[in-house]
Amino acid sequence: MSLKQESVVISPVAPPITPLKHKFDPVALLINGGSLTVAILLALVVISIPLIITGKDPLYIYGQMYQAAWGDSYGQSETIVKAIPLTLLGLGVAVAFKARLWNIGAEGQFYAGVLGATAVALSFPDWPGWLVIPAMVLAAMLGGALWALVPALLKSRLEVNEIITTLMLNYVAISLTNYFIYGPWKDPKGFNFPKTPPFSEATYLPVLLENTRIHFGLVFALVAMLLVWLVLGKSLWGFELKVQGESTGAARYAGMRVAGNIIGAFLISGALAGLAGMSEVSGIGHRLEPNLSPGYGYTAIIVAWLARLNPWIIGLVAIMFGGLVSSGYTMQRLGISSGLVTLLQGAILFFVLASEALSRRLLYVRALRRGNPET
Amino acid sequence: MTIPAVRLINITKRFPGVIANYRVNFEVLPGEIHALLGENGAGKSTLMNILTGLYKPDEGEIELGGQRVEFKGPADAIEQGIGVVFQHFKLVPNQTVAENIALGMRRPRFRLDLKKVEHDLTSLGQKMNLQVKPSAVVKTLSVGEQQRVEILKVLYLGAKILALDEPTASLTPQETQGLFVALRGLAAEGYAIIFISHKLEEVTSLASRATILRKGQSVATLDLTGQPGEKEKLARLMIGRETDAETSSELGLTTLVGPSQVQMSGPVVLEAKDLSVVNAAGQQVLHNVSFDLAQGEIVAIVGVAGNGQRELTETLAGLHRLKTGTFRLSGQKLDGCDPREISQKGVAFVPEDRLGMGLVAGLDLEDNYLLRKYWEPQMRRGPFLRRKQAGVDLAAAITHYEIKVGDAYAPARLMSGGNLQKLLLARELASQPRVLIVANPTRGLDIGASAYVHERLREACQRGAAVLLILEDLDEALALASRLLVMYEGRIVGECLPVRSNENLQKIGLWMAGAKAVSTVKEGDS
Repeated sequence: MSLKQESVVISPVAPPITPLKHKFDPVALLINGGSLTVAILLALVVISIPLIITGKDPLYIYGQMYQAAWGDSYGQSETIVKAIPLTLLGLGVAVAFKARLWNIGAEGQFYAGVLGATAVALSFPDWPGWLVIPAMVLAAMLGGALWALVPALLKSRLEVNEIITTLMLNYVAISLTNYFIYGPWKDPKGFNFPKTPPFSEATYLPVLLENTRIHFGLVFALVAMLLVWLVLGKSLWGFELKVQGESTGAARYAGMRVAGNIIGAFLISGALAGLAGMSEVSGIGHRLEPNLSPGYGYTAIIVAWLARLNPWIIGLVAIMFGGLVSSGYTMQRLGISSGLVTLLQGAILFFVLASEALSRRLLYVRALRRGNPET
Repeated sequence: MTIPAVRLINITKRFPGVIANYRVNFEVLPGEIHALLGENGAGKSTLMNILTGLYKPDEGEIELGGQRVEFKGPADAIEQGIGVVFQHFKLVPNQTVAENIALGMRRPRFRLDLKKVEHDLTSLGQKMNLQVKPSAVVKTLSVGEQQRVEILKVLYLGAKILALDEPTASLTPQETQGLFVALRGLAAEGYAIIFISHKLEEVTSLASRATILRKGQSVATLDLTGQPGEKEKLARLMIGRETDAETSSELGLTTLVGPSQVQMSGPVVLEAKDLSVVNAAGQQVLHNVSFDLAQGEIVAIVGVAGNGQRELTETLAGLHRLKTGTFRLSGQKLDGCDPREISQKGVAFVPEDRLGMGLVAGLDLEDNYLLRKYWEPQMRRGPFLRRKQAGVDLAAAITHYEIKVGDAYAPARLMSGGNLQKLLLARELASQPRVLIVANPTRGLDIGASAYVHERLREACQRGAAVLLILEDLDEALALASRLLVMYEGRIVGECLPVRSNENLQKIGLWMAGAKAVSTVKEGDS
């Protein structure tokens, strides 16, 4: 047997180089999009079962929910209001998820941010807006980042599972917030209600649209989308996060500082969550009360995952889930527990995860079938 | 004549593209310790997996005590009295010895009487020279003790035929002696013992017969009598020579440097002195390794896998911290540099683990091409990647290295081994490195892809790079390298030229098998 020696030597005349292109693959798009649609429909179908059992008409309820979120300009504006924190939090967890760091602690980091912002607002009631708002932003981002630093250090130094530490720290943050509301920060003129004194008006984030509650936090969210897109999609550091998320062995081989990147990703993740907290308390609450967040930090995980960590899609999915959250309040007025919304969110995530596994499998089998050349 | 406890008759096992076993014959008598000898890839593990019911042979028969049997699976083999002690123990570290052994019990089905198990184990251990405290938690035991647990486990489950796969690989000399005492005792009790090893010293001191596997075939079965020259004979049989000149010319492989040259061809580029490395488990994996690598030469490090070759390459690439020693590139200190700095200074590294270290299975080819290039000035603009440039360079690499790609933006895991290796070489050679470290570059590749890899390595070497090559296949090393180093247990134990004389080959075989060695090249040199 002889081997073609000439075939392995570079010929002096360079052969033409065919430029590479991302192939547009309509079937893949169909599989991905189709499975997502089916997943959401399945979630709606499954959740109608408890509705039917309790004697409600699911189609009527779903119609009402849609009306509440999108039926009038008030509903629409409220949907956007809810989408602001969801976007910021979703972007935050996306940064961590990119490196396969399962930061489930957005809720806690949100509250850490709220505490930072509130501390500034209550301590400097006389500061003008141009000073106090940036100070609150800074304190909130710092608070969120610090809250994320604990799991980051434990993860990078001792390989402690971040899912557990971030989740547990949520409860600590919420309890800490309640301690301040019921204790040192309680409004002396508040008839013993658990809330802080109202913030000075200088701390209010400006309203962007007359007669709505859409506030300057929307700008934060848009800027954050742009920045996260640049960092994750375009920068060297985003590339490092992607690589080490896939394989720490390869990351070390490429000389990446894996532990440092873990800490960095967590800090950014926490800072964005903290910013979400500031924008809620300063744009909506204007004082700190318990349950400022209806579980935004957890919903944001679903948002980021559904958007496959794409910052722009995170914005879109956040609007969809914003609608779901805001319709929850309307549901209560119709005499249906707002738990329905949580139920629906959970079911959507459940089916989407299942469908994702399925469509990935389909695409993989298809790629194998079409055959990769020469094995 | 005694009926063999096990007889494997004309066993053939094929895998896609490989014949792992071809008409292998092997038998063990009750009360006998029979060694199964062979290099890596000679087919030892396949044969063991057939014996334990994990694989079904394509052809051939298995007889137990003269009765023909067919195993439907491992459980079947255990039922029939076959017990295997694997090289890597299969124990639950947080459970006690007795609990671990009870895990494998099939009867009684519902009630578990741990007290009885403990009691039985104590008496069994005493009888068989395998004392372990049954109530001890496994993770508190030493490696030798854990191995005793493994042996007790298969005995307790009723094994009459015991196969031990490289049992001494991680034992201390004292533990090895203890193991041998126990094995001799078991043989005296009538157990049939299969001792799989490539350490000639141990085989000759323990076993009464040895069957040698080479390239999937059983080439000989010898009675071991302890005569002088026996080890040499075994080594020769294990490595085998007759047809080699033919096969290598068939493959178009010729040596680069004539065998008459002893001195290195150019100035020393990479200089490693006294390298010692301790791994995460606390074992010392490199012991004072020193060597020089000169411009334009290909040095192959041969040896049985797991003797520190992988750690050596990773150390030179900056992935391990040194306990002692230093290595330099043309006098410039490299130890203490991180993998990126070492790469930037001109040391390229193609790791053994293609998907997992060298490339990332889940990322597309462009990302994989960028993996060790993304920091280069032409690949970035400030903190941002220049994806366009990466795409252009990748397209050029695909064309020049004849990488066959369906979709460059599909995950790398969909590519064949040969194409992955080409991509790795394309990336690592693109920056014209001065030193190229390559670990097992042709493992799993077909002849065409292997020849391609060889050609590229020669080309790099002609360009003036120094190539350090880890190889498990001695033939390949002899064909490709200008100098050979032999590694054994984290040490470089021998050095020679790639000469195909019987004498030289026997010497290499002995070095690889751990016989005491002296360098023939460096003698008198210091």
